Amino acid sequence: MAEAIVLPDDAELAPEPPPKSIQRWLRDNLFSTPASAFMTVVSVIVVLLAYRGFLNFIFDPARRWDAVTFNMKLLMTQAYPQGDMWRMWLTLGIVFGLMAASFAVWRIGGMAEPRAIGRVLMAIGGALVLGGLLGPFNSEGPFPDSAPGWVSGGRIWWLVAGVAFLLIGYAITAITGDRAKEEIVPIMGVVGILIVLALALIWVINVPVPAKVVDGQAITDGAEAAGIRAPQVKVWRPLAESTTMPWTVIAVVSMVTYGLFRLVRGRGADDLIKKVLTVLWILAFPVLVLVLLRNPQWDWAEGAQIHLSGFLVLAIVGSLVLWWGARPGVGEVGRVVAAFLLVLAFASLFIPMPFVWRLMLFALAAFALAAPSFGGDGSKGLIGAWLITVGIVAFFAFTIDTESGINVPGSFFLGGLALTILLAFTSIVLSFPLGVILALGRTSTMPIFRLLCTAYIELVRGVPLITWLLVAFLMLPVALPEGIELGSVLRAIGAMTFFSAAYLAENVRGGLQSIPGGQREASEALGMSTIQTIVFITLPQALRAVIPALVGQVIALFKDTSLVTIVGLFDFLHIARQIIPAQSQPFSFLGSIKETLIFAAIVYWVFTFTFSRISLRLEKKLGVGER
Amino acid sequence: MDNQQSEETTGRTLGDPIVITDDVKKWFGDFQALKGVTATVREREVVVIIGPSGSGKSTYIRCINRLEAHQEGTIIVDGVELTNDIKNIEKIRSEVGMVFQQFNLFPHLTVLDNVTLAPQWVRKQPKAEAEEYGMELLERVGIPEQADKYPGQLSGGQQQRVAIARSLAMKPKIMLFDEPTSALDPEMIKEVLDVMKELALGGMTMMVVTHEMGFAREVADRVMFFDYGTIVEEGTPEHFFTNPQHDRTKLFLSQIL
Repeated sequence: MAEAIVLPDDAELAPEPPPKSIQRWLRDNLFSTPASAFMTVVSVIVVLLAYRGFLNFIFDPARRWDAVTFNMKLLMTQAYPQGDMWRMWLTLGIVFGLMAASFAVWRIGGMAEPRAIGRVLMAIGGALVLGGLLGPFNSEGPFPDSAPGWVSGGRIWWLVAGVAFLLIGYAITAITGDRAKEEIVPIMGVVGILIVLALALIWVINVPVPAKVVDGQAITDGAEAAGIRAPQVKVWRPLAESTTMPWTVIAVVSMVTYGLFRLVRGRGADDLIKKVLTVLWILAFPVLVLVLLRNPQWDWAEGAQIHLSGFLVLAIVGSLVLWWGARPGVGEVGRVVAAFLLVLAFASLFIPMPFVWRLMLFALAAFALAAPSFGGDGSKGLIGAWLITVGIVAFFAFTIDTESGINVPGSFFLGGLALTILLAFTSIVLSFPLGVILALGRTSTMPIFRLLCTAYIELVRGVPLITWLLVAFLMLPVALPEGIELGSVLRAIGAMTFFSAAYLAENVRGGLQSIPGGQREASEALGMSTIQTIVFITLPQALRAVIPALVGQVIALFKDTSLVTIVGLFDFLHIARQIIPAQSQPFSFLGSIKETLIFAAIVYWVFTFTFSRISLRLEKKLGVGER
Repeated sequence: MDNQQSEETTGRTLGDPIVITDDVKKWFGDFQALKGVTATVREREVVVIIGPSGSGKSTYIRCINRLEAHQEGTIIVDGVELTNDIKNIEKIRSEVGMVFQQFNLFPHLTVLDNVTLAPQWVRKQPKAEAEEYGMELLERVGIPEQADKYPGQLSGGQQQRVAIARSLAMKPKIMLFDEPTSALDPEMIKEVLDVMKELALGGMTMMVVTHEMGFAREVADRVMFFDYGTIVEEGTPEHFFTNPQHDRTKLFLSQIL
């Protein structure tokens, strides 16, 4: 068998093997063995049947997709007043603008191969051509009335669009030629083109929306307010007509913001810009939700009377205590003072005072206990953290006390997708610190704290979330001391936070246990205290190790928000599943549950898929320099 | 122990006793790892500890900065007795540097951050000062150009030199080395030993657990031979390698040399 070990000649050692013919590729990848050939054939048949079934469902004349387009505002915001919708748009605009700025400054989105983009386009083209061949299209079109040509014209448009995509995709690869395998296309540029295309489409594509018509003339809200009662009919308008302009403005503002920050970045001020953006992101949530969306009716005088002076005293006294406690020479006396503060905090439980003051005393005691570990340069950070804590609590104490100016039916000013996002975002953010503390507690050497954390985790994980929601709604009001009332959304957020924290804790514990013991030993051998070792060494590594599990938890929690329907909140799925299919006016959407559910599924999927992509990117980014 | 002789061989003047261990005993469950170790190390002295695996030599030096707690006997480091008092332990640990067999660098921090973390948070040094001294140390161990890389991007020898710099950044009075070259490829051992030699010449008090007999012969003031949890024999390198007294020592040296 001498031939078997002959070295390959130079041609075969070349870095790029010659491109395989299509037959060769098919044989190597899809039909390499009888089993693989069988699986290929079966899978292709399944995919084709599923695709055909999907198209048949979507374009069935019996489908009432107008149930979705008619009720878009209901799905997104429940009954947010039309006159206040600008708040919603401003909020979205601020969030997207911040995102665009952050993308530019943090250099999100790298370069892609032209070949990869060409492939995506060709795949879309192939799917369109296939859809044209498989779909239930005929000369009459799927929609009975005045649907535009791209739908009713049917097959030919699908084929034309598909071939166009195929050609463009092929052209990109062909034009770039040898450079097709180099990463030369900026991904953010592609995103920009997609945004422009999407904008063009929402101005062009027509969908059925309700309109009030008098004598063949669509009338405005103002005319109706003037007393003209108009019958409602379905007309074809540009996609989401009333929202076309705001979306266009938001998209343009975002792209301009991105461009501006692109210009500014890399000119020496990056660190400052990043800091400012981080602060803006942190401020965004309370300002947007509690101030902008709620349209609060401030009573500044009362707020200052109750909160401002007290929090000012807390901020100043706390800073002084921390500054003193973090000085190198203080040491033991500092811990005694911290212990005294802790005793004071416990004593406050027996003295009548607002709940928030007790909370702040406990927080100050915790900060003071940590002060000796974070002295030197770190004391600035510690005092800063204290001031931020005081500021945030003061802000919440003031704003939550203030009534919402947006009055809608139901108990809360938001509903629909907006409520779902609010619930998910708040619970996720709040459950993270709690979960980390529980995980540290469960792995700590302090027996009583460990037992407490373990008991909490096992108890909370052992009971379904629905049960906790019901407990929060039915039993909590009975258990709470008199005078304290929690809003329904607050209670739902609480239940989901405490539930999710238990799961997060177990994930983080897994990460903590995966850190080799040598890390802790090395840190302790350098003289670092237990808390310093946790904050600087083990916890950062543990969190990195469990990013996939943490994101899994985030996704689960996002979908679990739909359970709040059980306690009567109007979340996205609740509206899609019960409110719209029960409508009988102005058009009968009775029983149109399939359409709204499919729409809800797509929206949930878009969000969760985005999370999972972000997690992949995070893993890749934080993996730099890992062992 | 003959100080005159050791000063002649190494050119160092030994100072006052800085590590005193008296009848130290340690159990892991039923297994007794240390069966009464009594020894004194003086300032600027370099002590090399050798012995077969499982003889308790690593456990002994890990007791000196209390990564392991001894159960009987006394350990006094720099005038402070090691007890359960956490404040004493943290103080001792910041005075005693340790280099591990597996380097134990922090993989999520850059090389420079590895070196400057503890001085900033334990010694409360300002960041700029800590970084300046950190770069100085990285130059001393010969890898200033790697300061912004992550440990995973360095070779084993480079990682161990970073680990030495990380310990030195705390300006320790004593350095403990727990088999610093055992996890290294042969061609990287020399670069680490050279750094250690330079450190010894600079007057650092060092306790080194190692199998590098060349290092022991060249640098040590004193060699201790451990077996079954006790010091079987100790003396100058000259005495040790030319005229060992104990049968167990002779057997060990004949196998290793």
